[in-house]
Amino acid sequence: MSAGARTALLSVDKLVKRFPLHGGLLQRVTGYVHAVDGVSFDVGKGETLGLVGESGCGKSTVGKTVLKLHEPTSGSIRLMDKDIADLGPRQMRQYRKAIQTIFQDPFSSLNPRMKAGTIVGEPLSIHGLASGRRKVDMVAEIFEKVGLRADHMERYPHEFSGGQRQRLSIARALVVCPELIIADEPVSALDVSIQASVINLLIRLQKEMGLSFLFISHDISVIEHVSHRVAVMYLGRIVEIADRPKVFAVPRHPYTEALLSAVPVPDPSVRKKKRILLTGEVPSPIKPPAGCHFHTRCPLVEERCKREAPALREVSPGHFAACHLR
Amino acid sequence: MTAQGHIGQARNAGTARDTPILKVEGLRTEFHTGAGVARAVDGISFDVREGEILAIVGESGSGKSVTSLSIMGLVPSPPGRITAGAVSFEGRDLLRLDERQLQRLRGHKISMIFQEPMTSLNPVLTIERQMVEGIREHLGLGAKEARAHAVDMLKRVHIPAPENRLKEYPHQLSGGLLQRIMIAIAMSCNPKVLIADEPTTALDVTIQAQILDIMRALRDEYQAAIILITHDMGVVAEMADRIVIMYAGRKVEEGSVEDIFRNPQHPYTRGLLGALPKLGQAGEVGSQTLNEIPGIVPLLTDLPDGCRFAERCSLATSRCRAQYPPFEEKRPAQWAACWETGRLNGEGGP
Repeated sequence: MSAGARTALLSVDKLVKRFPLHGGLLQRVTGYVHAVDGVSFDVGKGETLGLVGESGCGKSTVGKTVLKLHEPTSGSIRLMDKDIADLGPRQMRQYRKAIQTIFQDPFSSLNPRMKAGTIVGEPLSIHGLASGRRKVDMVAEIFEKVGLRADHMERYPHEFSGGQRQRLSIARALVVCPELIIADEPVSALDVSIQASVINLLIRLQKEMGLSFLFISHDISVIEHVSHRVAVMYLGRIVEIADRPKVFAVPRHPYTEALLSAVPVPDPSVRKKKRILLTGEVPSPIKPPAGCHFHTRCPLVEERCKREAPALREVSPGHFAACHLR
Repeated sequence: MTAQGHIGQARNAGTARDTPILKVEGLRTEFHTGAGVARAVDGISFDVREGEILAIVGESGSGKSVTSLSIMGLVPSPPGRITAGAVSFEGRDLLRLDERQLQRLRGHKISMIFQEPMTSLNPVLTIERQMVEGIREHLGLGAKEARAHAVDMLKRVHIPAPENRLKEYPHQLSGGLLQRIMIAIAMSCNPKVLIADEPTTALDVTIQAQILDIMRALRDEYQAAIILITHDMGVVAEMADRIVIMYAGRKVEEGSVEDIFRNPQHPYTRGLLGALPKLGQAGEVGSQTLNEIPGIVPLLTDLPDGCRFAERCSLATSRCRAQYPPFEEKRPAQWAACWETGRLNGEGGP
């Protein structure tokens, strides 16, 4: 999918999210966690944008802010060209229906006291989309779509395996026919053999229903497999964003290069390849370094990187990277 | 004296490479649960040699971690109990040692690192206290020498400003640093065997690369045998010399890393390798489906008589369901427990 032909379903512009830190006797604000620090991207219709990064890079905060679980500190979020800051209560309800989510942990995100059918049917009642017999039919239909049986509706979450529970979460997200799914590490808690079936299911459903995904994960191989486009985050900022093949074949940001190089490849014959080993660790988002956030670990660092934050720049058509040196 | 002396000797002792340093035979560990007896490890045998990295691979519930806890005498009892088997190390059966004898071995000749470095260190003691205690106890060094040795070990795992780190408490350090400290502690008494249970699972991938690099360097330097327990086939491909694949408490395949990745002889191994998205090999989104293994792992309290993988295996026959297949050599130095290896390899029809 080329960048020009896409119509943006979701547009996020210069999104900032800071969390205040309280301290001292009076619990005054003593500082901020700069979780998301000016992030812009869009997600096209029917497209999967993979948001990849290591722990603490802010990728989950981006997802939660788009879901309106957090209020953005600044910046805008637009769905189908409507700024969600301007939405009234009724339109907000529409927004919440259009954007659904799947979380990482299928154990804690399902109410253990509710039957599977009730869990999946609840969004239909909340949004007033169906009730009674019709609701049951719709739930049964979505159960089948995600690979569960209709008789599973009478069971409780603990009676399902991890993979089946994740299918329940997917069913609950899809039952209201959303436009966009925010999937935050949807397969990270699953064993490899189960993970494969959930990934296959998500890709199949995307084709069948024309869904868009913001797919958040730390697992670079999974991101490569599911994404049309990929954004790489480091310490609150997007450092690189482009169509998937570009990011993986010709990464332009030194962090992306190191990240790709660090992934262990399940093939013993490629073991001897030289890795880019990053030294040190990710700095704290409470006191991010000046200039380029990556400069403390970058093998190519120059004086300028320590002072000036590089802007995300088009380094080749449709390929953006935030690095002074590329 | 520092550990330098030991290292020099270990390096030259390359002759012992083919004799197993630790040998596990017929290990069986059970847990008594409300739902009955769960046989977490059911007759596991393997050995590991000096300077070798043996990976024990399996998904959750395969028994890989219980195997390592059993070797170390760390199975919580009750509810756990080792009901059969032997673990021979330096002419002794570890399963017959009392707690005092085990304590002398643990952290000295056999040491272990866990997935969560945060929970394996004592939060109210400084790093120094936790490092020096074992070094003094096991190597019989004085306080000053032990401290110098601790600093030396921290340098070996590339910890910057090691003197300062010694004064800190675990909560002041990041996960990657703590895991490096755990490795430094584990290696500080020059162990013969290091058991690493998912050592990088809780870490970010760039930090994982650092830790794996350190583990490999220490293996080369100390010639310790490493038992690496993991679910991550990428880490296995990168690190291991040999592999044991476990499924529902049993060993289903064993062989060299090259053979198993190139020519898996058990349908479960093959399935596992096919289920992984491989970096750099993805086509258009949706053009490739990952290999699915249908169904789930059987309950350890209700195991079938036949092959435990049969219910999820596309090649399973009535024999597979009725009789557990023997663990036999399928190719030179590669073993698997499967009745249908012939069909798996495309011989004699689909």
